Amino acid sequence: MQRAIRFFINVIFFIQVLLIFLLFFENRIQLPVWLQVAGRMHPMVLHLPIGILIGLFVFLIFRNMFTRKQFRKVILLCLVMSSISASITALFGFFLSISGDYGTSSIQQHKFSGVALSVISFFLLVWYSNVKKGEIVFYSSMLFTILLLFLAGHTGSVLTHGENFIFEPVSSKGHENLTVENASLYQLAVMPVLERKCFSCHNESKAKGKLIMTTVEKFKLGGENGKEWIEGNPDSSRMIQNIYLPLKDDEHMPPDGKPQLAPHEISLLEAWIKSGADFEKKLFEFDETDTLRLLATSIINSVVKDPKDDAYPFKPASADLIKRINTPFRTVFPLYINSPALQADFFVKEAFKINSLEELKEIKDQLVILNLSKMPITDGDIKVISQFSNLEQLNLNFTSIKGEGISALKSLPNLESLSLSGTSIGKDKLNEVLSLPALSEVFIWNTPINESEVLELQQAYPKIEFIHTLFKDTSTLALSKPILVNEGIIKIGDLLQLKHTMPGVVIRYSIDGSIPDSVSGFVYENPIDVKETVKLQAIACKGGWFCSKLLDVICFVEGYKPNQVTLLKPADKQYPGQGASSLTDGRKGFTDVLKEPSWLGFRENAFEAKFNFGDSPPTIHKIVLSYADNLGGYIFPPSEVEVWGGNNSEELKLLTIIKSEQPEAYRPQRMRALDLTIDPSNFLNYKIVAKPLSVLPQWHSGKGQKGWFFVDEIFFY
Amino acid sequence: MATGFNRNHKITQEGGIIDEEYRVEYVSDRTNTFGKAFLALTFECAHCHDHKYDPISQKDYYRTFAFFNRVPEKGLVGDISLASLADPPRIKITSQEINDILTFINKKDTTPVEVMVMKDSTWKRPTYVLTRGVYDAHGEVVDIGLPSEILLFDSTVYGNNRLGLAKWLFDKNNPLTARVFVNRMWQEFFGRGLVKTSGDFGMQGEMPSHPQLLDWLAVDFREHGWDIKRLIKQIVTSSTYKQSSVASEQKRATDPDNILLARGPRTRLTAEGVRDLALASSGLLVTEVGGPSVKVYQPKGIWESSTSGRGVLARYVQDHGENLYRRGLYSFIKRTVPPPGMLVFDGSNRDQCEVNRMRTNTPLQALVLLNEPLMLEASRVFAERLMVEQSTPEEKVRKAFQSILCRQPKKEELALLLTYYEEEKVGFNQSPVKAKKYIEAGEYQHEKINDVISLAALMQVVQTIYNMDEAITKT
Amino acid sequence: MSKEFIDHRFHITRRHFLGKVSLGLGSVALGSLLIPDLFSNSDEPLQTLGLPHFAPKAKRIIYLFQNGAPSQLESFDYKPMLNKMTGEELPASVRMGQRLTGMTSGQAKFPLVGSHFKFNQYGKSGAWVSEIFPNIAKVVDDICFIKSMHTEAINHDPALTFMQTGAQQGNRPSMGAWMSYGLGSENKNLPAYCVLLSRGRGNGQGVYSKLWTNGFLDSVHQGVQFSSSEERVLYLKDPEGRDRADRRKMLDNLAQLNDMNYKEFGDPEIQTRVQQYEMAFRMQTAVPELTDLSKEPDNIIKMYGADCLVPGTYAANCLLARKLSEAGVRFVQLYHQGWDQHGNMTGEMPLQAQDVDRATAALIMDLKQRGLLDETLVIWGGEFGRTNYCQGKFSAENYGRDHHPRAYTIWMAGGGVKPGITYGESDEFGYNIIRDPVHVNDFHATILHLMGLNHEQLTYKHLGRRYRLTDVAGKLVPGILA
Repeated sequence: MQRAIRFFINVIFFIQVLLIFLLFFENRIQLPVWLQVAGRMHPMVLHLPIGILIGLFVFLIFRNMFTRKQFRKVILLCLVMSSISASITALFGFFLSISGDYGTSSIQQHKFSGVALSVISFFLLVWYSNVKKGEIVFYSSMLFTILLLFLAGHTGSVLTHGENFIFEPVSSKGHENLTVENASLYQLAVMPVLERKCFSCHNESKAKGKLIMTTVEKFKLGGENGKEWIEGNPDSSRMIQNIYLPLKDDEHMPPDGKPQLAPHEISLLEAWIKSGADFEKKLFEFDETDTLRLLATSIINSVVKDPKDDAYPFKPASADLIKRINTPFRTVFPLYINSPALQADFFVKEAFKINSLEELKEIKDQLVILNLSKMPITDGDIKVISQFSNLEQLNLNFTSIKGEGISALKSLPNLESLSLSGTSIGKDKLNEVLSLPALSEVFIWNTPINESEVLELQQAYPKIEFIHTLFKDTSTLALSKPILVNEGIIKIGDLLQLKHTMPGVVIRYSIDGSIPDSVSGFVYENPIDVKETVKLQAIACKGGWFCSKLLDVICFVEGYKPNQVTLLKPADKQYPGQGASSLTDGRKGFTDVLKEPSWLGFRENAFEAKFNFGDSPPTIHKIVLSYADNLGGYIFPPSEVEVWGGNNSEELKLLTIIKSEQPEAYRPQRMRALDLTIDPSNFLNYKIVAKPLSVLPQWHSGKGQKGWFFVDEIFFY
Repeated sequence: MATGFNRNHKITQEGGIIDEEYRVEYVSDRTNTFGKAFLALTFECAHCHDHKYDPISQKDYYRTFAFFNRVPEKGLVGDISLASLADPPRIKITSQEINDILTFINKKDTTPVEVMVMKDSTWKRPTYVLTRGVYDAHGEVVDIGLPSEILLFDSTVYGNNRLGLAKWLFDKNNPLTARVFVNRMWQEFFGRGLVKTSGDFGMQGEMPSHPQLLDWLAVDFREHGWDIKRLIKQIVTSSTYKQSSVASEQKRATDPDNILLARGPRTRLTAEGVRDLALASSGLLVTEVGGPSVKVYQPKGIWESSTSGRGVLARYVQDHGENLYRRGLYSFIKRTVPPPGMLVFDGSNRDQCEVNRMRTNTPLQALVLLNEPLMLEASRVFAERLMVEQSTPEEKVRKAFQSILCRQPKKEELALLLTYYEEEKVGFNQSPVKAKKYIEAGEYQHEKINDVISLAALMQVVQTIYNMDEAITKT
Repeated sequence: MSKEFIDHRFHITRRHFLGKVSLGLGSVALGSLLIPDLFSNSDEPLQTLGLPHFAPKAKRIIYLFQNGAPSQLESFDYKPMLNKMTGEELPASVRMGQRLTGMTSGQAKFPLVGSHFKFNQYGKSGAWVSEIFPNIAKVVDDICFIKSMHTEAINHDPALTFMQTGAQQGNRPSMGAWMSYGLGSENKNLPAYCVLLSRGRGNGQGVYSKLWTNGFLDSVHQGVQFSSSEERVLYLKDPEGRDRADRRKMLDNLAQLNDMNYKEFGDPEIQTRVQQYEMAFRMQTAVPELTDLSKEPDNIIKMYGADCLVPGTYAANCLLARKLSEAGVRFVQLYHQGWDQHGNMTGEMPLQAQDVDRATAALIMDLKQRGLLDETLVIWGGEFGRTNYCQGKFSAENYGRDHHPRAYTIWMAGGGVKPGITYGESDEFGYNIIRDPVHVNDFHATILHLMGLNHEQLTYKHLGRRYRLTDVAGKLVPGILA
């Protein structure tokens, strides 16, 4: 080991000497190409001494963790490595400094700190390998080495990444003083982009390609290849061309590995050159729809703080105060993180008390947006509002303001937006505040102020935008249908209820199958008493509107309930429902969902069911069959229905046969009811047979096949 | 049949999708679920690239993937109009089989029931490493395997198929399976696992709070034949679990999250648990085990407005009778529209495997407990049962309190509730119509009770007890 | 004893300690990068959530999602070339081997088809609008059309999920949940994120609760789905026979009981629950007033159309959206189904358009006349576009269009977007984008920006990594910012 160390000491010593020698004759050196390669490896090897030296330092701190002997070996090894890497780094760095285009002052600092570092690490190695005593000297030199390391590292980083690279994100570089008013578009938008992506190589201390972009004058001069742009022609401008070169191209800018320009940044640079590469023109001197202005605006928003921020002369309210002043019905919050300006919103008018407004006095300086929409604010309260002297936006929509005392708002020099829609303010009262200097928009929709008055106001105050009624359509529209309130089967004793969501609507209806219109049919006033299943048809009418479309529903009404129901032939396996009990369980199905307990489906078998009324049968005069009509699903009305009756279940007689009408074409699916009227009778037993359509008609896609019959409920009246 | 678990992932029925894309999606779901449920690893990270923290390479991922990649399935069997409830491969279970072998199954249909299962096809579908996880970006072909950092998978030892996977999983040397499971069980009872991140035992997960305990439980569990019942007994009969959950000021200050387990757990019930509590305490609960899912009360319009209006589930057809009172576990869940009341209580939408549900505390939960039909019905039925009994109001309130909170009321609690009861009686007396309407809640049959006023007042008191924080909190 | 206890508690080994220390330092460092004010404002509590990162342009969003993907070629992206070339084959140079859905990939021919509906220019901005949107045509000067949207997914489910959550597969929080997480609720008596559903008369595709899921965020950020029945908020109505005063009394008693409990157990969750009951009570007061549309004046009802009084219609949802937004709801999400015209474009498209046209325009005017459009961002659009060629049997009179993710149109109005402009452009075939493409992630980044949020800073740590709405992509679209 000793021998190896000695060998290394010699090698390092050699390099040290070489280094110092070269340093003296720097100006005369012609660097061969292969050494330039070595120079370019400087940024790579430089990490070695940094790492090793810091590691060494850490070892020293934790020296108690090792035995003395081991410790010494480790330190020695570290010293060898750090020293050799430091000297090689310094050497390579030296080569690089000769071949690169660097300014003078930073490079000198870096050069000397680097060489010093390599020297002192060599000194440490020598000291440690030979001298056993003198720990103090060793440790203090070590400390010095680390300091030197930071200095060299830092000056190096300034060369590569530009001044202030490290602290750039935290130091805001004096942009605070730039505002849209006093700074040019270049300063606000273009320079920040260049600063982020270009300045690190093209600055006073490191002028790659002899191009310095940091000052306007030198930037205009261009680099070793001349001017960087041609005004008005981005496509022929060197700068843009280089940006668009393939990433792997040597001329591509920024070079591969450096942060690249984002598409919107490129667009900005192009637009800037296209518009003449002007360094002086201010943002607002460009047309509002100008591409450059648009692009710049978005970048400015992200770089410069909202200019308003500085305009707020007040201190933020304390977080405690904001917390305390918040209630569920009054929200107070800063416009954004760290903004001193506050917004206050009020909600739920029942919870509003005038106190809740007065309490805002505690934040009267900070309040810039106040939303009192729909609160019971009256003219008397305007006085309170007028104390919030920094208010910019005031929403009084749908409050009880009439305008008395509105002139108190004149104490709000910053008020920009005033919403008075839905209040009863008149033109004259409004006039009292329109001279406010900052006022730019006033919302007066749904106020007594009429259209011609708005025009007058607009002429008198061209600076202010008056927003009045936007909707000017006078065409007549149809109402929506009335709504049936009842759901499902109507229980005995319940009444049919209709309603409409629009106030002032007249509902006309019929339950006898006739079609009501705006003059015929009953006017709905009270709930309708129905005893049996009916077809309810109703429309809604109102002046100024067309009548609604027809509401057409079957209202099923509860009837007598048989004691026992039996299915004589089972329903189809796929649609068994809950067997016979489905027929009288009081639950209706939907015609689009058939696989559920309400429905019994029949195709092969006819529907045949027997109903027994026990010992004291009621008098029955009508039976209603509720069935599905879904032609697309092959579900048709039954072709024929028979009703049988009798006291002896074995000897029933035929009471009636009804052939139901068959459809001629497809029609929307719906629930239907088939009335089976019989002579009033009080038999113990009834039997109902309903046959599915045996052959589907010619017009149907399943012509010739068997039809389905679906029944969900049977009612006896 | 249990392999059906691996098939019950999300399945698309959207016409026009690319078959292979979704087939790969299904297999990934299985792989991710396996990783999370059994190994508590964030396996899915390795779907697109090597895992950034844990020793699972992308190759490992697709080796595991290969186990599940042999199912002869399709990404899309049919769109919603043709969809079946069980896409192939599937098996048919007949009533005969239920009676003979599968006696634990509660099959109510008379027709045979089809069940999706895993089945390895006879030809071996090659499994590729998918570059960046894209379904058609085939990389190298891999064979089955598992992350060797956990335990080397030797197919000659374990076997070259999913059985081998199972054997590997339950190998004595597999460090994860038992730990992961006992940890999850622990979480069920204490609200927090011994390893807090019950779904991540990897580098990004937390260290166990009680490592020896975790190991002991895991070994004990494994050595006793992976007996879950026994494990649960071990946990719930432990003195740790039986501790009081009263937290002194000092305990709360030193250990707000009860990591040290110096007190008993205090956690909110799960979505299903809230329902079960109401059912069980009021006496509504139907204890039947198994059977098809049930469609319980659901607000109108919530289901219909989000479906496409097609298919067998286009409408919500609510069940009636006994089906309304089955445990929350049996509630029908449609992935696209999970029961809203359950979601409010952090129920899962069954989209992906979840091993730890959140336990939030929101105003919507209050609304459910206050106004949901079942909660009202439970209060009503419970009140009716109490009214039928020959007992004093105090005894009735005591009983309700005891049944819902599992403890006797304290003096001041009882006093408050009784005063409330009397006040409500006065209130209802002034407007008996209100009482009549209030006690109509729910479809469950009514007891014949003449004193409607007292019933309504008692129902109000019972409802109040149901709404106490303690009712839905395991204390 | 106590030392053992502490060791046990943390289970410290040296390696573990070092690991933790470095991890800790690393995460602090990383964290401080992400939280700009961590060190600058130490005397105030750190509040990065609940407030915008910078001055917001929009305070609230109403997203009129047109579910199923309305055809851009029949609505706002005018392509006369297609009418000239109707019936001719889609040139391969245009298609460039793009992925097709399973529905048309088997098609042998791809005949181009032009819009059946006439287009005209409207407003000062001269925007082209199809004749089936006569009312939207009247407000084009408030609208910013983006005709260069593009997405990655080609089928509804993944595309919808991508558009709403920033990822094609589910389980990520949706846009509204992110807003709720980042900005909180303006009105503490209402949920910050409300979802309203309706169905039109065209071919529909269904919506899923995962589109408004909170994902891994706390479930308070979940979208609250309003029912299409008359009772719009679930479980909001007091039970039959109980009124507000009865409820108040119950809650007072309940609070006392809970308080006794709190004194014993000391669990802060108990107090939280009491507060939640109070908020529930307040919601019960605030919501019915909002959802009661019958008190709206006649001219408003005319403006939205009579349907706006029928719960569950698009018009009613638009009106309700305005009311909710006016009351401080951050994000109101509408989904209107029925835009999936694979066939019968000429039959279904006018009906679909008719259902949404009037109410959409009304919403914009209504917000504007109240002074709210400035601070409310209205977004209209679907999950992708539709192909320029015919799907199925070709006929210039009745055709269908398949899904097309490469170029489609959406529009925005109000809330800090530039009114009366068109951003981006598709080629004359309406197939590829030729200027200023906007990816879904860019769209998300821009919306967050409008709301005062930096899309890279709004993150949530889950499963060991930080997630954001824009995942690892997304660029601001400065061209549309006012």
